[in-house]
Order: sequence, then C-alpha cells, then structure tokens
Amino acid sequence: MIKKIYKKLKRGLWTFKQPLAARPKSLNNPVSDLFVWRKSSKWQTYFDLYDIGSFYSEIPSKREVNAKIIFYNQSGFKINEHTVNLNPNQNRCIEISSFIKGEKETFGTFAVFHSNIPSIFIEHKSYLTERGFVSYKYNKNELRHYVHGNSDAISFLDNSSYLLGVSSFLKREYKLQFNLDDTEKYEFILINYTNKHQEVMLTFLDEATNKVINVKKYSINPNGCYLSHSDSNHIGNSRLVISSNLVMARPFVFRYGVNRNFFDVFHG
Amino acid sequence: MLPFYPLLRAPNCEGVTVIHNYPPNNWEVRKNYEKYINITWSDGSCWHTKIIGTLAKNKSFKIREKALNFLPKNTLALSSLSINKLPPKSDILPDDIDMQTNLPEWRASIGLESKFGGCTSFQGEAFAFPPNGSLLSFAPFLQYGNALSSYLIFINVEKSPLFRNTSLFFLNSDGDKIMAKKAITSNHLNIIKLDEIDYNPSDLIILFTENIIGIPLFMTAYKNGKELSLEHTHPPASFAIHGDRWGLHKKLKTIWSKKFKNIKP
Repeated sequence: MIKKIYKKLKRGLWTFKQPLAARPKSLNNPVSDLFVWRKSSKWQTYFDLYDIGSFYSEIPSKREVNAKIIFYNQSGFKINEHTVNLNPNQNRCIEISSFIKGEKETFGTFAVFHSNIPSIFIEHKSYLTERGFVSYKYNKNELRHYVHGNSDAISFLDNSSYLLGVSSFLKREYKLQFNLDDTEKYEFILINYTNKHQEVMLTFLDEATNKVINVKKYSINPNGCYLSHSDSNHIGNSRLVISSNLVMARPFVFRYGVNRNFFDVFHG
Repeated sequence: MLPFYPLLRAPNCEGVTVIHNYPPNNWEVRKNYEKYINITWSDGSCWHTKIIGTLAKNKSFKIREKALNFLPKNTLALSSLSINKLPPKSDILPDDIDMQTNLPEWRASIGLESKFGGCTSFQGEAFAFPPNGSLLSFAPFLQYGNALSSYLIFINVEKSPLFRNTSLFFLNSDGDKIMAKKAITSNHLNIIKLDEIDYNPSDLIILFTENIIGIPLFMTAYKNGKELSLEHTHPPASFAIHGDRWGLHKKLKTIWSKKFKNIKP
C-alpha cells in the first residue's frame, strides 16, 4: 500500500498539472497542432485541408465553411494569415509555402483553425482539433512526403491565437527512439508550444559506447521553433536525447540519404 | 501489455524495423534490462515465437525481413523485446512484464526500403486489437501522377491466432457510395493497391470495417520506389481533445454506421 502511494506521488511530480495541452478558454475555440512549413528553392510545403466538422453530420451540409491558417516565423511571430473556404467532405491539398512572402524566412510553423465546430463537440465538452497532415516536396520531386502533427499546441479566440502547452516542473529527457545512421544526414525541428522561453539541450550519444559525441544548446521563443543538424563528422551510429522543460519535446525529423539518394520525414 | 513492432512489406520494398532497448523518456521506466529479441507469427491456429538474439540496454537492433528465413511466406512478422523468454508456441498472443510508457509509447522505427533507393519509416508500435471491433478512418493521402503508385497496408493483430476473413470498405467522402470492397484477413499485413479505386483528387478516402480493427498505413512510391512516403491515419478520436472525446468518437461511428447501412447495393 505504502509502495503504491509512493509510486503515485513520484509519478505525480511528472504529471500533476502538466498536461500535454491545457484546456482552451472556451468550448467554441478551435485547437490546432503547430505544423512546420519550409520554403526555399528546394522546399515546398503542402497541407491537406478538409472540414472536420462535416464528418459529424448525417446529411452533408451545403453550407460553406472556412479554416483560418496562421503562419509564424521561427521566432514565433505571426507573419501572415489566410482564410480558405471549404466544401463539406472534400479535401483541398493546399501549397502552404506559397503563402509565405519574401525569401528571408525559410522555415517556421503554422496553425489551422476551423470555423465549423458542430454543437456535438460543445455537448461533449470537447474541443475540435486539427492534427493535420503536412507533406513536403524536396528537390522538385513529384512525390509529397507526409507527416502528421504531434501536439495539441494552440487555440484561437477573438482574432488571435494563444498557446496551450504547459511547462514541466522538472527537466525532462525525450529520448528519440531512432538510430541515427552515419550514412544519413538529419535535421531536427523543435517547437516551443509554451508561453515561456525554453532552454533546450540536444545530446548526441554514440550508439556503441554510449559516450557523448556532441551537445547543442538552444533557446526557443514561445511559439518559435529551432532547426538543428546532426553531427555529420561522427563515424558510427548515434542517438539523440533532448533535455528541456517541455512536457514532450518530440522533434520533426528530416532525413536524407548520403549513399542512397532519398529523403524522408517523420515525427519523434 | 507487450508492444509488438511489425515488419512491413510492400511491392519492390523490404520491411526494416529497428527496435530500441532504451525508454523514450527519463521518468516512466526507472530500471531497464537486457532483453530477448523475439519474432512472433501466427500459422492460423497458434502463435509461434523464435528468439533471434538478445539486446543490451541502450542498444538498437535492425531487423530485415529477408534475414528471417524461418518465416512462412506472406506471414505478418511481429518483433518484440521481452525480459522473459516468450513461449515458442501459444494459443494467445504472448505477453511479458509491462515496460510500457505513455508519453510517448515505447516505439520502434518501422519502415520500408526500396531496391530503387527509397527509404521511409515512422515511429510506431502495435498492440492486439479486440476482435469484432469496427473501424472508421479518414485519409487524405492519395497522390496522383504518372510515376506515382499508392498502396494501403492494413495491419491487424489480435490475441487469437486464427485467421478470420472479412472485408474492408472504401467509401466516398459523403459516405453514400462504396468505392471498393476488399477482402482482408486478421493477423495479416493486407496490401491493397489504391490506384485501381476510382477516387478523385478532391476525395477523402473513408475506410470502414464492421468487425475488424487495424492500423491503416498509406505508402506512395515514386518510380517504383526511387522515393517513398509512408504515414498512418489518425484515429478519429484525435479530432477532439479534452471532455468526453470517446463519447464523441462513439457518436461519429454511429453516424457513419447509419450512412453505411443506408448505402443501396
């Protein structure tokens, strides 16, 4: 019994008032993940947009609804917004990167807020959320590479967005369960979905010896993101540990073959 | 419950699963152990497990399907890491001491490599699904182009080793037309070519089953596998956070079950 209580208390240090996402301010507020956009001569970013609310009606509605897409730069500042009209039960694959003007910014985040929130969500005291599917074209390839969102990060009220992420009381380690191969190159994008500045430490460990190869430290603005590269000089496989006060510091991983010419993207 | 990590298969591709003997965070699992590396498969009447090695703490191990020459053809191979030896034969899917984590789950890198150069993976795991559950899934992944080919890889794992034959329905976006009906089998990796189904670029694929649950993975290959893309759908419960999201999920399933029943043959 005492052992059980001790175990619960110990776990409580990591879970008490530290949800992945806080409750939005009102049931009418839509929620979105923060997705990564990339834009350059090598990159195009797409998003599959459809009216989630229409799935919850028995008879397809003819009412036109919309979704507001808000773009942020890597420092977390809003740089643009765009409203897209949606027909019920139809998918629109939108080239997100075409909404980013200028060549100064090459990556950042965006959020998608739906206008159609069926009353059934309010009745169940739930919040409609866009978890998304982003896809990337790299090096003018015909294929789009898909990855879904990985955080219920942000909500929207009175024409402005607000973050839902919560900071952890204790420093946490997120150990990416992926073998970093020395015949591949990687980029990791981490998003700060909290209202506090976050100090993030990336530690690369040699897979064979478990010794530290490299440590990189970053400070990320609220709503901002950071792109870090793997250590391309290391010989042998390695793994990544991310230490921060983020409840879950899951990175988006962009993976490039060196011997084999391929590109892939996934989330941690 | 013991998580399993399937080995994938797809045209022109080899399944590659990398399992990791370290937890994904520093607070849910306090003590880790050297573990057995297992491959488990069903022959339709019982589960078989073969130990292919051990994995020390903090190490990873790459499993290639072609190295598992003891497997019968077209078998769904499930890799796992266990503290104890799993039985070589069992009537239900073997289990072991719970080393599960939640934030996130203890996962493997599950992927495909093409002989034409492409390589893709996602971080995932599989647990046994309850038999006779139903599935509803919304997927936007169709890509069109002369050099592109798309496949659905539908993975089902159940505790019982039996092979049940059933159907997977592809509905149109409004849910009033069955675009295709495909035979699928439990405890199998079911591969379905999507290019043959008459969807439009603006259509969502709606997957529906009456008595089987699985993981729908969508794979698109460029030039037979020069480049690969792989992603799974979100379960519809993830359209909502907080509150009674499972109650909402149940209502959504009821709406689409009604739509399905009203489709005229």
